[in-house]
Amino acid sequence: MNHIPMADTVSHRLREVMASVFGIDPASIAPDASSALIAEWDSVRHLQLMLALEEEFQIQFEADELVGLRSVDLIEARLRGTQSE
Amino acid sequence: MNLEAFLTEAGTGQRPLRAADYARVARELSREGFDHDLRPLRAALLSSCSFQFAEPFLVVEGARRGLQLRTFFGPFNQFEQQVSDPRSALHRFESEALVLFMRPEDLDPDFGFRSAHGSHSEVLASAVDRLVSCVENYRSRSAAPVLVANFAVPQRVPLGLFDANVSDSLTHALAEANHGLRSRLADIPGTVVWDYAGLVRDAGTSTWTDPRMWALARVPVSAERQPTLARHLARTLAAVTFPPAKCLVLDLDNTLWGGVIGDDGIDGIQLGDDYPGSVFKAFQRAVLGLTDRGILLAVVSKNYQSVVDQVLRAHPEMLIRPEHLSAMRVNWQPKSTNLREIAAELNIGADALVHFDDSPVERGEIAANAPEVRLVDVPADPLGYERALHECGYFDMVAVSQEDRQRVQMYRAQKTRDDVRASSGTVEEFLAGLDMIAEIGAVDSANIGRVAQLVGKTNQFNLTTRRHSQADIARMCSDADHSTMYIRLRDRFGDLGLIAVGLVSYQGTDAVIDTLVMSCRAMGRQVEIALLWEIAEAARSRGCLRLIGDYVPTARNGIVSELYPSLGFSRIGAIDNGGERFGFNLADLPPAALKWPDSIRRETALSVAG
Repeated sequence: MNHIPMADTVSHRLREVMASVFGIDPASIAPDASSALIAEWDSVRHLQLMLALEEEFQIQFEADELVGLRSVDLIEARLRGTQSE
Repeated sequence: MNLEAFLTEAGTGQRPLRAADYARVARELSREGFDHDLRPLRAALLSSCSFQFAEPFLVVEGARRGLQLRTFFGPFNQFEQQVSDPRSALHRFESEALVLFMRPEDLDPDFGFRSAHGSHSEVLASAVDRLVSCVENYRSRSAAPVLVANFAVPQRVPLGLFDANVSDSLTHALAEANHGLRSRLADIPGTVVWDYAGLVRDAGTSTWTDPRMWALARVPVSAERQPTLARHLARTLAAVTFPPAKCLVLDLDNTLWGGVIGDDGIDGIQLGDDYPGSVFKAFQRAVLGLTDRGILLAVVSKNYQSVVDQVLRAHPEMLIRPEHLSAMRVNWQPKSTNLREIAAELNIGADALVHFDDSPVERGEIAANAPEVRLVDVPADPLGYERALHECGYFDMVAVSQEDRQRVQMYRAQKTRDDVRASSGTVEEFLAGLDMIAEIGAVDSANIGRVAQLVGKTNQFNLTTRRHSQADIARMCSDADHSTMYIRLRDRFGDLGLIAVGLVSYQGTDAVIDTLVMSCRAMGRQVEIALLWEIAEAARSRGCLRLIGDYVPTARNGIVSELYPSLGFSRIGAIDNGGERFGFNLADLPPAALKWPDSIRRETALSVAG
């Protein structure tokens, strides 16, 4: 059985959630994707995304994070922080 | 459609839907050309807070109730503006159902916190008046059913633990306001109370909200409770859309009693005050409760008539007796045939029948051969029967009856005579009643942070979307060829803050509006007209000959595309980024539409840029 590095799973699951919320192809989400670059990532959908991620990863964001995590790399870093150990 | 089958295929049938699933499934359900047998329904919602978040949940739960919902969410906190203006986005949407959601805590920020004598009642009375007025106005233009949310107890009540013990407390004022709302809406045909208060109470007030979502986006319901909210609203919308059922047709074996009468005999079936018979007896009670509402009862059973007659007449624990039944079909025919015969006998449509049967095989036969009959989704455990009957929604008796439809037509004819006068008064009266005061001033070091935030973040009411940095704006403040203006707005209920900014660039004899932004919460109050008037006056007093405004379209600012033309500006030409330039000559009479709004009092701050 292949060992799947944790980082790839987080990345993959994040993109699946984004695909569901934004209605875009997960493969189209570049590593530098952010709310500035994806048209569908407006403020209503941003909140939907954050809450969907809370459900998917079983975590709770602080209010500041809900506002500030507006790019794929910031979100991934935050998610990996909780998934490791 | 069978939503459960659809969800299983979509890969979510094995577990409860998550928020991401709702988003994806909702999109699929709304797709053009998606094949289904759902009843389309255009539903509009006006709300005093943010409701848009509920959309994907509503679409999916609507499908579960047989509706393909197409939703329109009104601009933030606009009621009168949308209802009274015949050209508003609400009226252009041509809704088939309207939902009004007004929370007293959104009208008055003190609600729930302060308890000055009579203050709750005042806010609530104002809310009820406004809602009734909106419904009357809407009813004069449309026959669509209107759902009006009643008022839920907020999480915090001012008098705490003993709020219910004090006579004029918020708890009591709310209960009274809800009674009053129901009573006044009863006079308007095709209008019902959407029991939002009951929904929140049943779900639990303490877990209904998420403080983060409220603080960040004024969303009053937590993510976890969105499905609950959506289910309740979807069910209420279905109730005003589909005609109510008229007759509940019951199976007998393992439905009205435990066991099979043909095998167990009259002494062997389970029915009585001890478990498990008590479960079936309680179910019979729930069934009889429906007859109190005027629902007919009938029986369809694969049995011998004589055997069934004996149980119905002679079993001491039966609550349902022959006199309760309007029709019976006890034979070995397919149940679908029997059901159609019952409908014919009772002279009602087969689609007015609801069948309750414990056997999935029988339900399958009926779904295949008499699909117009509505089937209750009966669980395997009889302990769940009562709940299944209660939740099926087919007996939610609020569909608009034929008599009600006639009343609606008469009501509209009556209203049309007073229409013009009534409608033109309403918005102005409403705005005047807000006691608005606009403070106009020049952008300075005290407010530049907030100004920069507005310029940087506003998407909708933003004419040119030029994201000037705070440093850029500071330069404009000290530059003689620029004017920077802000409006801070207060009304009866408090301070809305600094909510509009205008940045003007003077080029020769032209005053060019580089930036015009306004916060969503100030929309619908004519504040933008006040700011433009101020800009025009400043330009005129500087000796400018022309006032020019640009509109640069983006994905989000469609609402301001006609702002300048609507105020009497003429189109001058095109500009970069697909934009348009508008203007008028300051030396001529100003356009009639561009004057300081009557409903706003004007105050100047210490300095105004000139």
